[in-house]
Parts: sequence; structure tokens; C-alpha cells
Amino acid sequence: MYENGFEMALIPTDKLESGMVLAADVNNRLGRLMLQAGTQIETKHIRILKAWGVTEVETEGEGKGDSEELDSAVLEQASDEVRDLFSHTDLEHPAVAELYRLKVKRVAERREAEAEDG
Amino acid sequence: MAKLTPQALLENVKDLGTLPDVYNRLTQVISKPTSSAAEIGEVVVEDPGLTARLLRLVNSAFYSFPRKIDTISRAVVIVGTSELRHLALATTVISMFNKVPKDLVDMQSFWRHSLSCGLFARELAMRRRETNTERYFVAGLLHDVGKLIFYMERGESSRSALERCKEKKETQFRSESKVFGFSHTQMGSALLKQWNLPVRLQQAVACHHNPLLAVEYPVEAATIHVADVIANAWQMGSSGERYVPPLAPDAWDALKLEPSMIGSVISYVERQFEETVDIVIMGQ
Repeated sequence: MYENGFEMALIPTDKLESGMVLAADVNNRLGRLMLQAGTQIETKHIRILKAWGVTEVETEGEGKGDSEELDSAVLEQASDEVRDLFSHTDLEHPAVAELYRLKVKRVAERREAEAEDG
Repeated sequence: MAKLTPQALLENVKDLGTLPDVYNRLTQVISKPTSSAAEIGEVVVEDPGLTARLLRLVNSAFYSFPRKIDTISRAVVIVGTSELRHLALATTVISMFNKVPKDLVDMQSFWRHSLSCGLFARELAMRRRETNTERYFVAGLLHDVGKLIFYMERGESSRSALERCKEKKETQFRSESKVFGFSHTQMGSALLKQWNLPVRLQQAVACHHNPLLAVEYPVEAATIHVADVIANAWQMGSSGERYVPPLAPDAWDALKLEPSMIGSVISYVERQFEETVDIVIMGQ
């Protein structure tokens, strides 16, 4: 399922893996916030979620197979375009690198969607 | 010839000397500790346009409250008085800038970029569990108003600055500094000062490209700075800049956020964006 270009999935807690990123806040049954959206899952989180009886959570696709589904030529074209946009930034900085990666993916997805419609 | 200053440019600007009357009356009634939510509501209700926009906003994805809020006095109770005042400011400022030359900037696009920056700033603040995040929304919305003053008062020089950007592949604030001697950051904060808006807001705007200069309010400036970087990368409208401005590492560190959160911040903002545009920009 795609929402706004970010692949989101409802994952049962026992299928969670370290490295997955939460797409939505997880609240326990008392309504208290347990984990914030954006948290990268670690083993300890999975233990806590199971202990609190949380059965499933929303996660964001983290590029595992996402970018591979996009045509590599489209990705390269997107990359070139986006590189100019980012030419005043330091792509080595982790936040910039992440923003760059997300932008390239979005531009490539849009190109592909346009190509399919056209 | 005397060196140009932000204050000198402001002197000739008509219709922007003070904020609209309703906003000033709202500030007055809110500053009285004895004012009730009903009294505050009465001030807003005198301006039907503002009332409509505020009610739409509090009932939108901007908040996603579980129940509908039907009156301003109820909105005051649920959202908070100073928060409501920030929202009132956000929804009135846009209507004040109606004399900007169309060939210099597309106003729709300008406000879309500004609004996206406001939403990103607010979302970043929420991730840090800050309260009264509406002030971040306003700061983001106002961060580039200095450019509008340049476009209105110095159209030719603005055009030169934009040409410079293209030819020398420069950022707009750099070109502005070369052409005017200062950039839209100082211009914008001078306007906010003239409007007697809080120093916190002035500094967030003044330092959004150089957040390290924000002595009293480093977190505000850092938040708008990072929000602007993301907004320029995501290109939800444009205020004239064609590049993503450089990210100041210290500002990013000050926010104590993980890069992996950026995707979900963008996701949350995109969910609210078009509805908020419709209420705040189109509902004028």
C-alpha cells in the first residue's frame, strides 16, 4: 500500500524486524504513547510491544526492494536532476543524504507514473 | 547615496505599517488575564472571514480533533488563547500582500512554499514534544516575507538578483546580499519588528539561514532553518529559491532528531498540506 509515495505496511508484531521504521505512533491500550512515529525498531522494542499486547504496527518501507522496483534508468535521471537541486548542500551529512534519497525516490516514482499515463 | 537599510525600504511600504485591526484587538483582549473564552470569541466573531478560517482550521487535519468544534470560544478553550492568536495571525497576514508584481513571483506558489515550511516547522517541533507549536507554524509561514518587500519595493533589483542566481548558480539569499547589502532574512525580521511581534518570531526569521546567530532563541531558528531545507527539497511551491539551502550541522544537532524521521515528517505534512492551503491561502 502506498500513501503519499511512502510504502506503508501493517505488520504483525511477531513479523517485526530490527531496522524497520514506525510510520505511526504506537499507543498502548491505556492510550499512552509507547513509541513515536519515526522510531527505528530494535529488539528491545519488539519485546516491549509483545509484552503490552500490541498485535500489529504500521511501518514505513525502508528501501528494501522499493527502489529496485523502480526502473534504474528513471532512477538515474531523477538522481541527476535532484543533484543540481542539492548542489549547495553537503550530501555527506546523514540528514541531507536521507532527504536526497527520499527526493530521488519521489521524483523517480512520479516519472514512472507519468510514463505509464502518457 | 546612503546605504540601503531594511528600515528605509519599510518606510515607503503602504498598507503594511500595522497588522489588521482585528488582530490588535485580539492581542489586547488576550493580554487581559480576566478575559474569558467568550470575550475572546466576541472579538474574533466581528470578522466573519477570520472566524470562518479559524473554525475550518481547528476542524481540519491540522489538528485531527475527534469532535467538531463549532464556536470560537470553544476553540479558545480546546486549542488555547495564545495558540489561537498565532493562527489568527497566520490567516490574516496573507491577505495583506496583494500588490506584489506577478512577473517576479507567483503568489500562490510563494504562499504554498511558506505554508509548507510552517507545517514542517510545526511537525519538527511536535516530534520534540514541544507545546504551543502554532508559533512554529507562524514563523515558518512568515520566514520569507522579506522577499515580498524586495519584490514590491525594488522590483528591478530583485530581477537582477534572480538573474544572478541563474547565471552564477547562487542561492537567492546570497544574491540578495550582493545586490541589496542584506537578505530577505533581515528584511523580514524588520517587518515583524514593525508589527511588534515577539522577538522570538523576529529572531527565527532573521536567522533562518544562519541559525548560529540566534543568541536568545537558537531552537526556534534551528527549527525554521531545517524546515526550510526540507521545504525547498520537497518543492511544494517556491518563493524564488531554486536550490536547497545548505543545512547547518549545528542546527540539525540542536533539534536532536534522527534522519530516519524525515520520511515520516514529510508524510505527516503531506497529509495536511492541501487542506491547509485551501483554508489559509484560498479562503481569502
